[in-house]
Amino acid sequence: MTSQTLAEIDRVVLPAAGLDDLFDSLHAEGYPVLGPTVRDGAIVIGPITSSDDLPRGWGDEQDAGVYRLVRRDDDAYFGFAAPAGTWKRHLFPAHSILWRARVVRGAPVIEENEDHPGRRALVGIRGCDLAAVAVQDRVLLHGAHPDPVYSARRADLLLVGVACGTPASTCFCTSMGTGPSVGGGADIAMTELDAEDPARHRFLLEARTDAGRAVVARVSARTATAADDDAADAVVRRAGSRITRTVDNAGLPEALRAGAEHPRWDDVAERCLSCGSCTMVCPTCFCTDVRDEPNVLAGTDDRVRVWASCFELGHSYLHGGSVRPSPSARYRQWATHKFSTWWDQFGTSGCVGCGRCIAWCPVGIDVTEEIRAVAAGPTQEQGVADGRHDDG
Amino acid sequence: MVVTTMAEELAAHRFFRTIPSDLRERLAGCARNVVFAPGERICVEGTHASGFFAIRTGRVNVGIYVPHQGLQVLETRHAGDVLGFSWLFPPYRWQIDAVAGERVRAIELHADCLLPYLEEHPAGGYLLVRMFAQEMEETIQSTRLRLLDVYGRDRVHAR
Amino acid sequence: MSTLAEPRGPGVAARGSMTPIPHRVVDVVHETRETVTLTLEPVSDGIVAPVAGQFTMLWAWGAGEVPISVSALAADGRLVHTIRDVAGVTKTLCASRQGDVLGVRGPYGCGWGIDAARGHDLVIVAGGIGLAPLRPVVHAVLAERSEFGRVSLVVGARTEQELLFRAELDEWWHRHEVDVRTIVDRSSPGWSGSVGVVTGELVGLEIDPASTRAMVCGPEVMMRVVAQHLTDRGVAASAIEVSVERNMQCAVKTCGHCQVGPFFACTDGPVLPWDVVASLLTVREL
Repeated sequence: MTSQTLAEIDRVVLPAAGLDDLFDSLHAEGYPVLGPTVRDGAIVIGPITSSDDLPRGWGDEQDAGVYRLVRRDDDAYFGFAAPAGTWKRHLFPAHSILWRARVVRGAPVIEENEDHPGRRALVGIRGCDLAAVAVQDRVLLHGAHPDPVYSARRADLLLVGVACGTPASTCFCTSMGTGPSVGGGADIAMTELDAEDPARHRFLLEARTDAGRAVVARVSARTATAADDDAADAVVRRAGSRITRTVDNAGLPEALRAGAEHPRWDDVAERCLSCGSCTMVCPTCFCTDVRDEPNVLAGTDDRVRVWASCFELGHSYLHGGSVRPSPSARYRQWATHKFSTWWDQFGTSGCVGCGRCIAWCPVGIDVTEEIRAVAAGPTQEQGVADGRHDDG
Repeated sequence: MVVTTMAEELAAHRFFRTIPSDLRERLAGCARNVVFAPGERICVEGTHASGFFAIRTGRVNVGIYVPHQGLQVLETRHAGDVLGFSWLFPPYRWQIDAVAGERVRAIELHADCLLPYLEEHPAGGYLLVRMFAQEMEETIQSTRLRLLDVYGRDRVHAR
Repeated sequence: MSTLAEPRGPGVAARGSMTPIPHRVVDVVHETRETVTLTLEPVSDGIVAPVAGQFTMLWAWGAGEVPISVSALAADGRLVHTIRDVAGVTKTLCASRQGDVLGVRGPYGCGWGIDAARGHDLVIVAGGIGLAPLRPVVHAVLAERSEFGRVSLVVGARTEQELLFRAELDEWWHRHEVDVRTIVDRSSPGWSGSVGVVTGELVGLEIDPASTRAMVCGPEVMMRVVAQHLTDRGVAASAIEVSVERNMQCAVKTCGHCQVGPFFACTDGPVLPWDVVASLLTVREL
């Protein structure tokens, strides 16, 4: 510990040129770092060793069915919106072995997967994605039966959030109350300031937990001033004002429940390919399949768990057939789960407004538009079908 | 010993419970009590359908005779049910066989007595035909449900 | 919003929630052509004793895992499951022989409201394999017969040959403590019982709606028809329990497969009151 007071450690300013100081501090505290990085023309989440691995100077263009990287005219490290990759992949792997059975003296002996990645820092996580971690915590950690794989990966995480100054047209975090600022759950909250001016390009670091303070205390940084705070507030304010997509959550769970038979579900099913892309990029989707993978030569049987999607025909399979054979019912399941029944099940919305499902939908379906149409109630057309309009 | 009138016995039967008492009185005039021993034939396919039965106790097996296989029971009519629709329509011929599954006590209502009255009193006739239509709907629905074969293996496929 | 969001059943697994506990098959009874009852005994540690209506996840080496209801409550950590071979994992389970070792997780889910039925008339309606999860209810009633009013058991099956627990049904019938009625979809030579759907037998049951509770288990269509029949006769929807069947892979509310609207069949169910599921089971493909 230095002679700095706690308050001084809590809010400090780090010049952009000294960003590696943060990585050094994290390494010194024993945290390997995961963060955004450019791979295959997209920003994904992967191991980061220094600021060189970050997507410096890269921005993105996102719209319904559109995602592409664009060169920025500055050196911003975090000048993009929701990454194409999800942090979820590192907390709740797409493929995991839950246990392995082998036969010992005629009976199976089952060894649980004890993989424990230990300390890891997630650097650069946005408010929306931070909220997604909290949503998955409720599902996978805070139930009666905590998930062993998620628990092992969730423990010992250090969450370093970065306020979002560059939302995409697909974003609606302001509606879901998750961004663009860094909400609860972060150990350190960062805001990138004045990237367009190399002389003033800097980060405001706010340590929010003891673990965060231990890292920030190691960084050579000056104490933040009121001007730094104002600049950070302006970043968030400006970002918020640029978000155009909205979801009106008032009465939405009830409206979607009432709209179970709305013709819009059939309408969207005409466009939906049931490909499941939205569920794969969603940071809160948690559905999985399990299967046994016996290895005859090794004499083992592995219980393997893989991500599943409610858009798969087999997702609701019972002997004899699927409960939800039509794409319409499957889209309804996904959308109403996110915005309606998730509340019943876990006390929150299942959506954090990151907009990935809109950008990564190959046919550009915008979930906010679909649920708005259903929540608006019966259409003229439905009224006719129900015989409520009688012209004759 | 308590003596009950036929009208009272009709009133005690589920099928007739809701009909107006004047119609019930009239029906009682066309009714008599009958008892069938287990295995006794109540209706014979192809013979004249002279009326219908309101089952008071016991079960009646309804089916169709199949050569070499005997009576194939297709449904069971229970206490509280009525048995027989063929008396309502030409050619007034039983379409089914019905056999007492156990000792059956029933009220038999005679078409010869009933039909002329119902023709002359359309309000009562309408009511009774409605009640029979509901019975038929329930019978058809029950048959549909069995056609679904909900317990069956035919609908099961390997995963 | 929902009052059922938290699991009500007992039995939180002490080990990793996805890890089966080895159990040895100590008894195999072939009930019908496609149904087998297995009695299992823990190889070392067992699981928490299940209650009537709960299920476990049964695992067969190399085949996988399926949810199976307990069909009797046994002592000494023994587990009794009746399994219908509907291909896949159930085929492997049904082919088990004495001495085989299977894995068990659980018990999971909410059981039947037997306590709520005390002091009431009880109508139990089972269709096909649906008699398996209800058999422990009959056992519980017979063990404390005076605690309950009139108790009726209506059992539907496809044919006489597919009636489960035939000897036990006869025994219950002879004891006259429970009004046992059986009805089959199709008669076969020698069948002297009823032919029709289960509601055909319900028609003849005297029911006092105010003091009746009902437990119904069978194909979803059958449960819907029975629940409608009972509510039409004045039984409160909240007094009718049904057991909901859905795809289940984790049984602990984390795999997402068994959702029925706001409910997870694995933890909010499988036994759910009709008043909360009626509107869900009538929405197409929910």
